[in-house]
Amino acid sequence: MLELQDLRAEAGEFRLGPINLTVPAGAYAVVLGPPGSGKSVLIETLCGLRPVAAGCIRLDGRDIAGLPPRSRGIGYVPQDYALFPTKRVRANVTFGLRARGLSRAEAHARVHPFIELLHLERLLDRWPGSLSGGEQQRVALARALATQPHLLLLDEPVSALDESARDTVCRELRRIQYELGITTLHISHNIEEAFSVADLAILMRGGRIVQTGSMDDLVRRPRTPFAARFLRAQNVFDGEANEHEVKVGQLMLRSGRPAAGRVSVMIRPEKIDVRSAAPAEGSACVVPVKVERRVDRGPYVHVDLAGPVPLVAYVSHQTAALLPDGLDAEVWAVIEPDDVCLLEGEDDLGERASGAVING
Amino acid sequence: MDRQPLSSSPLGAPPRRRPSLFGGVFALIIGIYVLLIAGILVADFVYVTRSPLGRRELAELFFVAIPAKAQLDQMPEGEQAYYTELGDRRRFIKHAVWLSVWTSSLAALISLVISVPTGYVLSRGRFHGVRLIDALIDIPIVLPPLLFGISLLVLFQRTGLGPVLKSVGIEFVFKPAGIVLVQVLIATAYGARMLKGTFDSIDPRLAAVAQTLGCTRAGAFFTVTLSNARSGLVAALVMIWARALALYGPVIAFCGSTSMETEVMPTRMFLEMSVGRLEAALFIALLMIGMAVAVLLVLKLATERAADQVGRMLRP
Repeated sequence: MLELQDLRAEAGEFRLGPINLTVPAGAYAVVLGPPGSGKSVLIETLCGLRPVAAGCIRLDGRDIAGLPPRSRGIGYVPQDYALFPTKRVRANVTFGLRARGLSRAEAHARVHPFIELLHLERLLDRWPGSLSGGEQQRVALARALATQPHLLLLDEPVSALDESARDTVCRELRRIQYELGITTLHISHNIEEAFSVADLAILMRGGRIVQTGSMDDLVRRPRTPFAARFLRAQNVFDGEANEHEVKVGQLMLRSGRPAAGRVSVMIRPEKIDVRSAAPAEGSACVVPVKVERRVDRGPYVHVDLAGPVPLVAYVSHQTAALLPDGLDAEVWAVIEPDDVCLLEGEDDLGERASGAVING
Repeated sequence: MDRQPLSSSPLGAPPRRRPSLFGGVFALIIGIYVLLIAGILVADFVYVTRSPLGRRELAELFFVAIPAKAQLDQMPEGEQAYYTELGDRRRFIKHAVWLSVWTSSLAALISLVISVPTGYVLSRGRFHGVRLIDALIDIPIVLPPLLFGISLLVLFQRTGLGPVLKSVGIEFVFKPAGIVLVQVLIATAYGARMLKGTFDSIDPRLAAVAQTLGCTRAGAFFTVTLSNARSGLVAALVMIWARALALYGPVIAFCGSTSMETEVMPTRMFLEMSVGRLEAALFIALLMIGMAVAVLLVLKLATERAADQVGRMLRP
């Protein structure tokens, strides 16, 4: 289990923390955030490559904040894998064990299970420069796992791969993590990647944790406008709430949760029901809108709607086929009160958000 | 099955590339420079071998046999003096060659030992004084080398440092050790500057990963960073050695040019030229060229082997 308590670090002008976080033993956590949010500084601090300014890093109950990188029990796979170019794959994989004083034969025997697990048998005598991106990643992973670390840190492990290989590699990463049961922290800025591997998602901004939870939690219940926008909730607006009613520009929405004063609201695009005819009276908010643009995105159709506020809706091909043809077609957007999600006004970068503790 | 030549294409001979202006201009620039160097070498060789003094120098030093002492004693006084003087000159030149080789080789090794950490700190250092070190390193490169000979003389003769070192048995002024000191002082700047570029090109994350895998910081430096800097190290060694071998101004100023003591080839060449014996100076220059070419070729081959090794690593 990885526990961070009031962890702070510095990288030039950049300040990381305070960070409080618990990643349960054997969990696969993904740290999400835009570039410059402090993900890599966090990983370097955990590795011991950057000094801890304050706070505590506890790994399986042992405080490792003051230990040198070699004694922390952490396996690190950097973004471009950083394989040693002057050593063959075999020497790369056994490097950690040889550095710990094991003989060549002992080191080879100890890495054998990882070579099998990652299917590296045929690559052992190759030079790193001759490997494909996916092969390099497997070698880097085997090299990090060979020392049997307590925590595996993966810094954007699939960003160097082409689009088609990413999903396969993510599945492979999850399989290996599941088989070894190793606690893993995976850095990414890609939501699809996080969806495919994460037990726990950690969203960062400005060196602090904004929100933690399962990916489903983050997507359905983002806490701040930043979280909502990062998680691609297209419809994020500022409004004025009065009990269950929220006024956004000229649009009056109904919310399932009462509130008062200035609020931010989010409506996920797939939750907006677009119809060609006005529905019968009900609790839902019905907004007359015009279709401004339709884009076929494969599994769904992206529809831009112009109305009292500009809306984005994702509808099925079936629904899209029922809408009147052409642009500027007049349709109705139906929004249920439960789908109007109230956010916490300002983006929260304070202690409260970073104090989130996830258990189990 | 017959192997097709690599250059052939399925449609027959590959299309010949038309000469471009770009390639032509580059070829012209390189051609002028290479011809200039080759021209200098040829001119030196022709001048030495065709002038009577140069030919005599060449013949006397390489081909004239010096009689044994018993024979020499029976010769007339004039001939005895000639052979004695010739023997002395041969010994002086041999000593100068040997002194040049060992001082520049020792200086190259010491300079490399200093250049590696200096180049590394210049490349990776993030502390405030790094810019000052950077500026100081450039001083031996931008200022005339003679200045350093004079400055060392002032440091060791006009301050208390010289006597203090002498009391513990270390002497530099007018000693071969002084030649090494001068060479180290100047050549290190070139080595450090070159190795900074080498370390700049090595990904610092390699050493970071090595540390997480179980290396100490020093262990990561030696097993990963230095291992990746091999070809840069060989190139820096070539540069340092060549620079050390060629120094004469600061060597004369700090160590003088005493035959069989502190006379190295460049200083002898300079002194021969200053008394008007141009052929003799050029003769020494040719000896130095031969030596330098031999050593540089060996080192270049070593560098290419290192580069080949890197190339093999990058090939599928």
